[in-house]
Amino acid sequence: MTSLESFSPSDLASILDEDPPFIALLVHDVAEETFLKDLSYALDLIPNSTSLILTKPSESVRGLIAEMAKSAPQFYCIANLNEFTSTQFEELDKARSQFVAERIALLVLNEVAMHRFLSSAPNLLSFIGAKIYSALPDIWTLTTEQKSNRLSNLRSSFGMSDEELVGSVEESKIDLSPSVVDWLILLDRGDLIP
Amino acid sequence: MNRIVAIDRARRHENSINQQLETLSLPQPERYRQALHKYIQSIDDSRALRAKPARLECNKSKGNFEISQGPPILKPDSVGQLIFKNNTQLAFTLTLRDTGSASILVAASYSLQLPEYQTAVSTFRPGFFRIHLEAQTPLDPLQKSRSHFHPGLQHIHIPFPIMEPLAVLNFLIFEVMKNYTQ
Repeated sequence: MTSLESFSPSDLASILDEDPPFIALLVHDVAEETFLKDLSYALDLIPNSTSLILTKPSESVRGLIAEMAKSAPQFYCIANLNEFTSTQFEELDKARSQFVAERIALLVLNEVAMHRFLSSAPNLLSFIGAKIYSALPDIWTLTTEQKSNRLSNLRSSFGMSDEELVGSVEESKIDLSPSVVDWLILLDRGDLIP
Repeated sequence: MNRIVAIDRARRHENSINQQLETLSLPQPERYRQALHKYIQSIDDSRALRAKPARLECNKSKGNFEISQGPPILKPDSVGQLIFKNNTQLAFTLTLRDTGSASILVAASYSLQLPEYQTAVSTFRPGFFRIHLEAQTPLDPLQKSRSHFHPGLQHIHIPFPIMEPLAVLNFLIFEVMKNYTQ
């Protein structure tokens, strides 16, 4: 896993936009649903790109191929391949002509399934080449340290404690300026924001 | 001047601000965050920044979704803001509320810290420009509008129109910053 380049959804979207692969593998060990949602939002921002299509878990390779043929976006993503057996990956390899060069396909699977894929789908793998990415979640949340720094800055610039701030807001004695809003959210008192 | 009449006029202005905010429909918070992220990447790509931009930070509480690049108000020890090659610093914080298919803007802060600027005749020192959208109509709407602008003076609040956050950022980065030294 460490040998693979890791990308967050927003970075991966930039790569797919700037250097569109014909077919690529995305190896994930992060919450797939959140990752794919973020990826689809990021892809939506690319001009002339169609949204990401999430293929539902298919019972058979035949079913998956039928779904691929039915959907006609420029870009599609096939997720839920974790349960695919070596035999199924072999079948997918035989059906490789279904992957059309004008479209970008992103196959999403976990590391265990990736190893099965690598040993069972040599032809697809030759299409993929080095386009094997590993998924990193986008980290957007504040660290505990960042939160406490921000809180102590607010306390000193307002000259108030957290309790005094909450009290003033509850009694409508203070305007809800952006700093006060920030403070309330840091205290998880978003309920006081109308 | 009759203060009651003046307050009444200010309240009417506030009502119109609140109505405009209701009709300003933004994409869902996570989606808008990606749009902001891409926008900041494009600023970075244009080589206008002195250092790689810090990642946008998000914080949630009870249906409110805060997206920030630095703190709401810049201080000398602030971190996370954008630092431009001309020594201008920009921080912004947006608070959105998810309505299911879109989001509404609850509060916003854009804080622009400006470098000292020397002209042939004088040294111009506005220090900062800040644009604030408060989360509700202020206690004294005559003193300040919910949506206001600080022209380098903390206690002066000039009413500011309701604008889409990306439009405000564009205005600050490509107009204010560019024309500031002209």
